[in-house]
Amino acid sequence: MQTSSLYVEKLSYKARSSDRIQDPFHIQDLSFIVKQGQCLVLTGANGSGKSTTLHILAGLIRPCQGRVCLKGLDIHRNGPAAKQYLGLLPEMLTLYPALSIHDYLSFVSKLHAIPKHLQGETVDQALEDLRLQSYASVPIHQLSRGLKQRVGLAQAILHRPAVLLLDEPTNGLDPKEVHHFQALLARLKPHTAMVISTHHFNEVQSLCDQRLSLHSKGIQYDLYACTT
Amino acid sequence: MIYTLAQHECKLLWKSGKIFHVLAFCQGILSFIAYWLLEEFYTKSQRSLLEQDTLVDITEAVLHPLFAWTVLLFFFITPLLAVSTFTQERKSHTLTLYLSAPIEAYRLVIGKFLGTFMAQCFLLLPIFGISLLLALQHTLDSGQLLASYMGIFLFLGAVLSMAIGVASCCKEPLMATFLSFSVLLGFSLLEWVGRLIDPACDYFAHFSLIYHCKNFLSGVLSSQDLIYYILVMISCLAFSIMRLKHEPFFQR
Repeated sequence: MQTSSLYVEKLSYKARSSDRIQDPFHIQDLSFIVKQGQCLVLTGANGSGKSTTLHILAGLIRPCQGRVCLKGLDIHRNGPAAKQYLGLLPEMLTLYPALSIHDYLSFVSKLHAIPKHLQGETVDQALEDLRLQSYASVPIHQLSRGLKQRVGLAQAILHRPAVLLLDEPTNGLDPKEVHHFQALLARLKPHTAMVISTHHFNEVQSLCDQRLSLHSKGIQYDLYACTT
Repeated sequence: MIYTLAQHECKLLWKSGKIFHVLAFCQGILSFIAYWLLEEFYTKSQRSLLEQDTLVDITEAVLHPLFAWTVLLFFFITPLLAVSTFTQERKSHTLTLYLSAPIEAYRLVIGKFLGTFMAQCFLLLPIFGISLLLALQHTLDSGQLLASYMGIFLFLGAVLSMAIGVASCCKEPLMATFLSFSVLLGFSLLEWVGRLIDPACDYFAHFSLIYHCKNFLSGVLSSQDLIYYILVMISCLAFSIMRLKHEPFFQR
């Protein structure tokens, strides 16, 4: 089971309490498995800990207990080795405003150590997937919010990761783009394990196999199978 | 990977226009100082010719103070450029891109260090140009010239690694700039503080960044100075790597 695409075992995390946060995010003994071809949707109100949970899954936050394995590799112990299987779209986009979309995606392909002879092809494929070909040479700072979101998505799927973590992926997308994005995720789904954090469950309902609903800062949660 | 990261860092500094502004500033300041030193050199040379005194050495009279000014200039400029390595990336959330990619922390730190170092080397173009122009008309002390360049490179590396170390701890660019400048100033003033306590004691001076550069600028290659700069670079970069491995700014 540990060699499943995403294996989460007895995950516990307690955020540091401060004067501003009286009731910090707290998660206890969270376990789940997302296999290749499955999609888990994280839902919950603002501040319920969806992004924090995704950050833990991506290895950006170290949990107090438990472990997160990507393809059998513990992300907090074998960081770089496990992260080769990871594609992350964070809520705050990781874009360089001064670079063009093409330059940015080329850089991301190098970060993921895609062989040099495949880099051009990979970038072109990502541009095509997100329908960004006509904007390829445009500097990122000149793009609208929706286009930037599409560049962020292109960055996350560029290396065809085994585990795809998407935080509010439809933020800033118009209905037509949301529809296109759903089709793209449906195309990617058979080859990847997805975790999507969203406020708009109906937008990803058709993809959902499991739903993790966080309540009251993560202290309570429900994990159940979805029926579409 | 280190090369890719270094290339990207250098590219970002050029694309943001930071290097152009700093280069223009350096060129303006160094050209003015060079003009002032050259005028003084020619006045002194003419006087020594008239008085049949020993001729003034142009390397000592012009290039030595010019290199000293360059060191001082780098001292102020480096914290401004080093901020973009981690603090700026953290503020604009782009650091997440590296931390979620399959890259070891040491590659990231070394890549960023080399990229910023390469970009800063362009700032040496004005003094390189001035040395070249002087070499066309005068005989320069090549030993002193080489030692001075070596000293400047080492000083630049040490200052940059210190500023990167500070940048790896801060979230606010302004705070990081101020803090790294304070740390650099503190390390440089150690020599002066030591002399204040005991004029005969140079114990504190051995920790000073500027003290170790003086020998190089005078044309003296000392293994003690070389080891000092290398140790500063290694320890500061190791500190940055440790900080990055336990990136605290995602913790809530």
